[in-house]
Amino acid sequence: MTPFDGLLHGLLVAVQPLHLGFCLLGVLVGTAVGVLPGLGPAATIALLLPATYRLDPVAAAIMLSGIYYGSQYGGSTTAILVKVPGESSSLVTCYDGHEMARRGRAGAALAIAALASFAAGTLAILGLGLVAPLVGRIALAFGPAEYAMLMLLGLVLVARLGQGPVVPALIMVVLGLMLATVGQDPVSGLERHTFGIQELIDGIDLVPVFLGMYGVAEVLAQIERREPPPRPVPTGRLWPSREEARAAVPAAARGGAIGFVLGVLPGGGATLASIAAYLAEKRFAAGRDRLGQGAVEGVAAPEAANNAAATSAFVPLLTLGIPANGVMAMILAALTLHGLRPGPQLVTQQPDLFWGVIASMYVGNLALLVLNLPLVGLFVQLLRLPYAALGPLILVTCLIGAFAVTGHAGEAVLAVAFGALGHGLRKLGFEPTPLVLALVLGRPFEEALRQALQLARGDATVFLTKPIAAVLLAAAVLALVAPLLLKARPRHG
Amino acid sequence: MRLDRRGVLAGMAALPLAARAQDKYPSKPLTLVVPFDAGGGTDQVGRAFAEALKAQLGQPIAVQNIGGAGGAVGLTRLSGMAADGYTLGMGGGFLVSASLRGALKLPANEFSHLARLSQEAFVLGVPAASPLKTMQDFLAAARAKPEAVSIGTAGAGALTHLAAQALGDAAKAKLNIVHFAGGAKLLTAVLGAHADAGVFSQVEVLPQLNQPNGVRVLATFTRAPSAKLPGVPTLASLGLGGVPEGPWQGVLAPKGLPGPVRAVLAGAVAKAQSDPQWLAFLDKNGLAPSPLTGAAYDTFLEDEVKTIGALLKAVGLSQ
Amino acid sequence: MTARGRAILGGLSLIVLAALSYWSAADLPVGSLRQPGPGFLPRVLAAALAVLAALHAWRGQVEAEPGETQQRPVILVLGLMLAWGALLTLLGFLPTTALLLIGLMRLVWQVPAARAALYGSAAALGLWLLFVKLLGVSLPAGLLA
Repeated sequence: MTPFDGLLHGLLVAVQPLHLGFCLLGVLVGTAVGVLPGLGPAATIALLLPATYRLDPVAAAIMLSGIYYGSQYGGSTTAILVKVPGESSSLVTCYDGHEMARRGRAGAALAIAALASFAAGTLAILGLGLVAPLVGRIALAFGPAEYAMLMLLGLVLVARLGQGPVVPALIMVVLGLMLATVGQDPVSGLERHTFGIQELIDGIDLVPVFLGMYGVAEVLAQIERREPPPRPVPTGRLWPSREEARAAVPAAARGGAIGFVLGVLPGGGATLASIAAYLAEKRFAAGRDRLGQGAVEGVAAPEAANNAAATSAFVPLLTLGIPANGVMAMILAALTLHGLRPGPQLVTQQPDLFWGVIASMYVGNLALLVLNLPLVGLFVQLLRLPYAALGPLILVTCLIGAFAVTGHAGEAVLAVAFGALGHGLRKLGFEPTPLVLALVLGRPFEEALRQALQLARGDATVFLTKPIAAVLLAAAVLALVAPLLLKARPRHG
Repeated sequence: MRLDRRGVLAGMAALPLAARAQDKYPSKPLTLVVPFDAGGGTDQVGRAFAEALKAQLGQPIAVQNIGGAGGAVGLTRLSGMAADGYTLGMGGGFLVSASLRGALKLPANEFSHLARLSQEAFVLGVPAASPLKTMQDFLAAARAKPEAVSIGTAGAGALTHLAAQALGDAAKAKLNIVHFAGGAKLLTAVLGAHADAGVFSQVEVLPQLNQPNGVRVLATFTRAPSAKLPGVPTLASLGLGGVPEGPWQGVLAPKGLPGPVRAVLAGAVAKAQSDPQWLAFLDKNGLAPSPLTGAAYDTFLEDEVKTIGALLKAVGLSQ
Repeated sequence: MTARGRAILGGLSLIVLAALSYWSAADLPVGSLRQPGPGFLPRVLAAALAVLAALHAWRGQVEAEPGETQQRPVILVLGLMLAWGALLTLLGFLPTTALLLIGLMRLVWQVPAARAALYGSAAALGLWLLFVKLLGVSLPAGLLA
């Protein structure tokens, strides 16, 4: 079957009423899960897994995938409106998305997020159908050495993400890495910084940290003012202007491409993709000087990236049988419940499943766009709520989101603690984003670094002799020293 | 993982009900605690067994996932629930391991162990293109130079780690044991030939067999040869003994089940284990039925504590 | 506090944190390059934090955000949220959340009592419908079980 025949066949599978229904249900639940801070696709899929026991496997896979890519659409909504990311993959959207909202362009930001998501999502599906077997090999080219250097590059770039001086940003990166070491060390099995608390053995979950440091701390910053600053009110037309659209298109293209590649890597996924896309904008966008001050590129790129990554994450699962992240592991589990074990033969042995799921993503993405654009106007109205109503709602949603991670009240307490910490850090001049991002990258970085050294039997030159690792290392070094060199010389326009 | 309303209710209502429930057990729905998140291997076994047991007891059984710390969080929670026969749990090799490592602050015999249910098979897998074509090649390369062969596990302290250690000991070779965070990352590393070999569950590698870029299985760890892997030798047939065969799963309850309740449960569990759907589930997932109860099961558990304990000590992870 | 004062306060508290973290990781083996141990990264991080914090205390400037601030409502909010965590399993989701919302509106934002009670209960009910009924999240039912 050629990819074209395959997609056609898949489309026929996807538009069967039963499959269509579960696709729409999936993206609907996904949107809700994405909009609500804390509640993530992995947890939701785990909740719904038992319910798929009685479905046919294709319908189950279609619905569960819909939840995943659907959640990437909704994640930016609260990030833009109230500076609380709905998903960890929309963390960086807070910067420019919320800044746009503060300038009265909330509608434009939301619309750009939805359109960029749609464009990147659809193109990524095309990539998934056409080059999946080829791209699948990329996942295997990335061993521990390559992965360690990729994470190192990420960490270096994260430190240079903000606008302010570099020392406080580096301090936040180090703090984030420290938090990432809490829990059982996967390489030695020994516990670190757990103080004998059983619940800390699995480490600090990202969700209570970002809900605390963004959601709770943001509200605290509002109420500590005796005279609160003026609330953002939507101005101008709701939709993006011509200039905004012109800036968004190349950014979305860059973000989508980065997201597609990073989504394929094991442990990569949507969060890493959105961070990388934002960092790329900071280097390459025409409007890079405005980034952080409400630039359209800062919304379009990460939102395109996380959707492309959510789609391409299916590549290793469908072509190799390897789940690239936690959500893919859940979908693998759902298929296993039906006795289906994805592997290299899936495309030939289960064409209905393979092409049906891929084609359902087209349908799902279209449904998401139709669903999300009218919601833009509705969501913008939320900004007209008095803060006496919005503030308490944000706080309660953060608490519920943290609680829902594991069902322990301890997670909610953790969110409050990180709210207080975030508030204190901000008063002392520290910005929370590098800390949260370093927490995301810390564990995989340390794991890969140690595995690489052990596999090379202590030979640290492995990072130079493996070509991909060497290129990534060179990029990391360049990213670290280039700004210092540029500072020495006068900057050209 | 979530606080299930039924679970909380069962806990609160347990005391007054315990006396009355003995008249006619079971008279209300049961809860089965799975101490891992939904979707994992133990969760799937637990859900399938709950279906089979439901048919025997004539009461619905709700599965409640309480994950965390390699099963320790859920087992700790379960040990505090009422021993009235309405709350059951999934146990297995992970219980012994968690207890010996100190994450679970209870010895393994602080539960009422009802029966062993199933056994998973470990296999040794190498990349399809590896120069190590047979187990003899593997042993020769491993013995030639210390740490010349790297072998991946699904995590430090995991049973795959202990099995890799035991394999090296039995072969009198020092293997370069490298830990990955879970079976999926291990499979990626072996498929990409970043690690020379890996200890897998049989079911993980079945889709990768006979593929140009897949996995070749050199040996199975079970005593009997695997029907799904014809022609693959067992470790025992090569003279390599004392290596854990693979994870096993069992069903248990909080300690102190009343005698009559335990008798009803034991009968139902035994019958459920010959349920055709349950057996079909095991077969589909590469698991073997391995029913064991009573004194024989107790002896098995004591042996497990000894062997796992010795291996954990050998890798420096016992308390 | 001056801009320098804030930097010194931040730097010194981080140096204390670095010391605590070093102490907490002191028992973990450092390992070797051949087999890096679990104690390696925590030690490096503690040292890096101490150096960076010292640099921050020595040279840093932290300008205060403009406008007058008050810390009483901040502490009140944190306290109310912790109370939610403590009472959730006991009282159940609906009553605890309604109480938190009413408390926040009345005490922090000075919404008139009757209106706070009305909005708080309605919002709690809405959240319950959304999370429990629509999305199937298990939240403790408590008293209403």
